[in-house]
Amino acid sequence: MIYDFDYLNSQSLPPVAIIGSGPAGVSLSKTLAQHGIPNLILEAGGFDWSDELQETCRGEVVGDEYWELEFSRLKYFGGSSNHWTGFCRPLDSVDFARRDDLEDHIGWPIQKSDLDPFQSDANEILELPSVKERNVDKDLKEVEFAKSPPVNFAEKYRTFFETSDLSHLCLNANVLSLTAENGRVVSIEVSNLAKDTISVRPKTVVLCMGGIENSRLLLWSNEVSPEPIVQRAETLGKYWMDHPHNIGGHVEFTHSVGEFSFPWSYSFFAPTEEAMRRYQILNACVRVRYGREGASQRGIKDFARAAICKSRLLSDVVEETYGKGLTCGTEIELVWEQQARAENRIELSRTKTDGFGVPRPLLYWEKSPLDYRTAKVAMELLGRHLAGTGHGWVRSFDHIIEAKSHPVQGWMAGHHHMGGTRMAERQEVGVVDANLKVFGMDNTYVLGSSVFPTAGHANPTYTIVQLAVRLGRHLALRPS
Amino acid sequence: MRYTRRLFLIVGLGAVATSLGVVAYETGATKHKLLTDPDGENFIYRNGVITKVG
Repeated sequence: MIYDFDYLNSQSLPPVAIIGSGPAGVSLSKTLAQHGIPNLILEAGGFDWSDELQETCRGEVVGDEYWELEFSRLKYFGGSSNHWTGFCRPLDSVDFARRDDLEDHIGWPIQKSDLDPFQSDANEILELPSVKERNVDKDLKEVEFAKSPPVNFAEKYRTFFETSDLSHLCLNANVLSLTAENGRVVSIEVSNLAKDTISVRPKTVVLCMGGIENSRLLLWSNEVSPEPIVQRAETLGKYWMDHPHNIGGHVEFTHSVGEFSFPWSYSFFAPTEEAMRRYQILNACVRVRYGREGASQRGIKDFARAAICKSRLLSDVVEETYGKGLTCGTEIELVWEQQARAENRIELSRTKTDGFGVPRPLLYWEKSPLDYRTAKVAMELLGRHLAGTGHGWVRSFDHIIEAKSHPVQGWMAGHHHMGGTRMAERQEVGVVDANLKVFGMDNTYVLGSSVFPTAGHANPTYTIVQLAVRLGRHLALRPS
Repeated sequence: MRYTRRLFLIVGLGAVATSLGVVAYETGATKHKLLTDPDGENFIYRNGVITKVG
């Protein structure tokens, strides 16, 4: 059933209240319904974009250049699935492992094998085939991404909510804060755009508000609730990550190296686990888009350029002699894992609030020496392979070789908001446990990429959906 | 005969010029070590291009 804030009944809430209707919230609701568990999603927006609500996502960024925060998120039914590209891939085994070779690296409290059983559910929800990978050499592998249509969760599941007796969706229900008593969230304060406010009493609550809002709501609730929601809040809002993006250089293939096909003629290369450990880097993806569209149609100039580019020595000489007019090869798009550092964090603004009076988020985001090192080495691994086999060459740009700062070229990051409420084995180092329950709370869970302790290089939606199905089954099977 | 001598001369001068050009290019190239090969034993950056040594 779908209804509006005006019909929200403060007394009779279903057993599970979910805050947010993006991929995490909807996947969880659907899984709970499959297990016969009644649930209610509280969605801040309606069916469409609203300037007034979108305004509440605005915040300030300190550090490296980054997207406007309200640009990355969408606050209405379907959440960020209303504008995602659909790139999907599960995380690698190494992404979950604790890395003793890297400073302050805790890994996940679960393994890849804990999420693998939920791949078929995630594939069904996101409408995906399975993906493959193969080793190119001992340091480099070719990986495959799958592309979701992309699934728009509002379009795909609207009828489901309209007809379900178990999954309910309440629109225009903006959650302002949580109140805790005796280790439980006992009240959720909800408001519509007209500022009518009611408190609802949940039995279990799951935050699915995204990689900024999950931290923001918990930080704010910790301030206004008589008892904190996150009792040990040393890591709350911290270890925040995105996937940095950069154009790293050019590649010219004289032999075909990629074997997997992908929409838009991309090939994806990544370091093997062995290489990551040997060179002390994080995970990364070197994206190469084959072919210049229409190059063969452009005439003698492009023909001459293609001929010169076949000889690296000749192309170097020509390029040095005639300047930057000659660009050989294809641009390399680097997308890589960012180091989880406490310095990268969400805080609450002390001077600015949104239209509901909730402090705006303040994001500190900066790339580290390890981030620059990872980008540099990822390029080297492809370059070494091509130079060693004679199958082509890689030219790294100066900023990649210098590994100190990167100019902003196109996308600076992936709009992948991760961390802030990370999973951990102990509450001293994280916010939620291996079952996504907030440490010290009986009935409060967090779901989404905010719980990622590390980011891998894969886009996060696939892992979010795996976690949602896993949490749904956990909630369904726990003793009532 | 006269043309053969000229041809030899042109080819010879061309070869010398090409060699000098290559030497000048090699000397002028910017070189960096790779993070993955800090001794430069197998690969180096030459003008940004990851290049096999030898």
